[in-house]
Amino acid sequence: MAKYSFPIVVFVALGVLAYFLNWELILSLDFSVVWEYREVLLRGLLVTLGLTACAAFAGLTFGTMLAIASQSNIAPLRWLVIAFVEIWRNTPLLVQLIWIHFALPLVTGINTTALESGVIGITLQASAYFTEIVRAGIESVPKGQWEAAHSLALPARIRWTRVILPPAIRTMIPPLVNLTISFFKGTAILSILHVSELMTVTNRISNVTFKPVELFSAIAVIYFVVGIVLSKTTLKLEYFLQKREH
Amino acid sequence: MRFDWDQLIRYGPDLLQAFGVTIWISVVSLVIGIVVGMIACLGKLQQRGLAYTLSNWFIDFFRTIPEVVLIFWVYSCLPLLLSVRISSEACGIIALSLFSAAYLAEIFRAGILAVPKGQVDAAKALAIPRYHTWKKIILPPAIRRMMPAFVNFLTELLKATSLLSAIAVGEMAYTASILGAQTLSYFEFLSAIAVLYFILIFPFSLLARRSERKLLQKTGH
Amino acid sequence: MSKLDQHKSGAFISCRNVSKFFGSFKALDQISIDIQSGEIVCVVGPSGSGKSTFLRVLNALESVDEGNILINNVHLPGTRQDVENVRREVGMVFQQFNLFEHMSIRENVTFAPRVSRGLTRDEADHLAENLLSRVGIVEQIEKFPNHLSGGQQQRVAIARALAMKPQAMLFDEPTSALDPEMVIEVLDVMRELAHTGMTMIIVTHEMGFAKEVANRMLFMADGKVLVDVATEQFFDGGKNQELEQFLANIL
Repeated sequence: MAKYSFPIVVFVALGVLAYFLNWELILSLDFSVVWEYREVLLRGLLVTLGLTACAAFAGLTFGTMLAIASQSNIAPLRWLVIAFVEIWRNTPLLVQLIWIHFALPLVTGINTTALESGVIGITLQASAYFTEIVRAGIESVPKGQWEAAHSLALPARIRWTRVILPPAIRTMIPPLVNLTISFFKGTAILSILHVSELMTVTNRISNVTFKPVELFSAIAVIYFVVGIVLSKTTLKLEYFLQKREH
Repeated sequence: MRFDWDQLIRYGPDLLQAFGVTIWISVVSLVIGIVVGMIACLGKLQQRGLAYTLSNWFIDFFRTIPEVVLIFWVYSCLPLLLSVRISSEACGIIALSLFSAAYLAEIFRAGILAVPKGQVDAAKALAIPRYHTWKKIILPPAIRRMMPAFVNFLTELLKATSLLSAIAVGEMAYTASILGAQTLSYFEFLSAIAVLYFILIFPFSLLARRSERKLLQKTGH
Repeated sequence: MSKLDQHKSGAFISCRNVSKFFGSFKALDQISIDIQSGEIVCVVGPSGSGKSTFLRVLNALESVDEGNILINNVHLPGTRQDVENVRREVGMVFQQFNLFEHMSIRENVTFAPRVSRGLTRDEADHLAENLLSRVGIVEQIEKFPNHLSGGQQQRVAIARALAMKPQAMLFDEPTSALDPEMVIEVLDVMRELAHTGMTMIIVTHEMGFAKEVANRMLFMADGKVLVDVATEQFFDGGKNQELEQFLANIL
């Protein structure tokens, strides 16, 4: 009995759902609108991917710099890095974006376009998240390696680029990839500023064509497919890298 | 520019009420998410069959699509598909519940799978009935192991509530935007809610990190 | 012939053509064997020979793919109730102890008798104190497993299995995970148990111990039982080349 209880529950739930569904509307759904606007949607997807790449590269660059600074001997510098990381990690991206776009110009007097605000916001948040991962990667390098580098009197630049970072990077790759995928999702939040990425574009088309069901369902599938492809290929990549090491 | 405290004080009650809405929506979504997440987790633990396939798709889908897209889909499609009126608040709760369920299912599953197999073997060898095995042998260590990820998820959920401002749910981000637009004191209101979010989220971050450290000490990895 | 007739009557454990596969790997290959009440059987063999799988099959921790087993007049494979009946009468001790880490020693020993034998808390406590003093750790009763040494943990694990009042005990390499100085204390407990007339099946690499307590030896390789003789004949070696090789390597 217990064996069949789950399928029964599922079928009953689907049955109830089917009863309440507005079949008239469902049968009149017309997904040709997605094909009609394919170029606009594709351009939106490209902007989304561009923003993701931007967040990843800028975030990794600043994140690495901040992570190295977090290992500094100068206490105030360490505190500054920690404060930066905690503030950007513990507030919502949406609030950061509207703060940068609407509030900050009132103080600085410099107006930024929506795209600029969006890029600044996602880059800063990415930097904070990447700092944490790079720092964890650096701290995973055994202490003996540091001591060996110091006892050989290697200059700081060599110490970092040859001794500390290479093994750190290897442990960092999986979380970095996961983070990049989560920023791929995060770019949709930039639609709040009407940056022309996939979500904004879809909203605009929906407002003109009055076909929200078709459009939002379609982009949900697009985000899903791109996201799942990204995460499955990276899983394969990780597996491949692990196998090569042994 | 002068920081206008008067505006903040005048509209303080509105911000506080919005703060309450944020918490209220988080709690409701979390509770529904826990229940649905447990079902999906049990389904995925089957490893094959209909329950597994459905749970797996459910989890993958709602973890992969952006929360904003999910919120907009529920808001603009669900009422049409069901031909009923759904308040924007209810839409927000539905979307965040689905999002929570998918994430929590994976967190629960990881915790359960982290319990060493030998513990279950020992329970079986002692003929301990299934109910007692779950209650006393599997769940206590599983819950301890999933705690850091669970608390960390709370921070994600609290942050995600801000996205409901996109569908005009009167939570903090929305209220601050509206007040900012009315009074033109954007800086004051947006800074104020940034601080409020930080006060709300940061303790959970600290708790997540602390419970992770404690777990590492206990399991010794 | 009915299923029951194939088994030698009176044997406590009786296996007929038992096979077990992991994917395409044959972990157990057509094992047929009878074990009488009160026998002490030591199972030896190279790693990967199927010794552990054999024990786990006897406790229904692994399912039987082919053949069948009769334990205490219960057939395996069987219903969930059959499985539970077998496990209630057959205790098991694991290589890694597998004590419940979040329970005190007292709870570890009393939990199973309470929930699956229906003992009251007082009865179970009394039983636990008796058994723990028998294995010499009654002073540690309120401590948690990770505060005990490996040898102490394994002795608790033996007490925990005995608390179910089983008719037979299975030992899966009980001393392999222990530091050398702790092996003796665990073997002492097992030796004492052997003297009480308990039916025991022991997978072990401790040849001296096997020679001393076992009245029957099994040698396994590639999922088969290659040698099944009384202990005295076993160490004379002789007939089986693989056994000679194995003994030469280990002794």
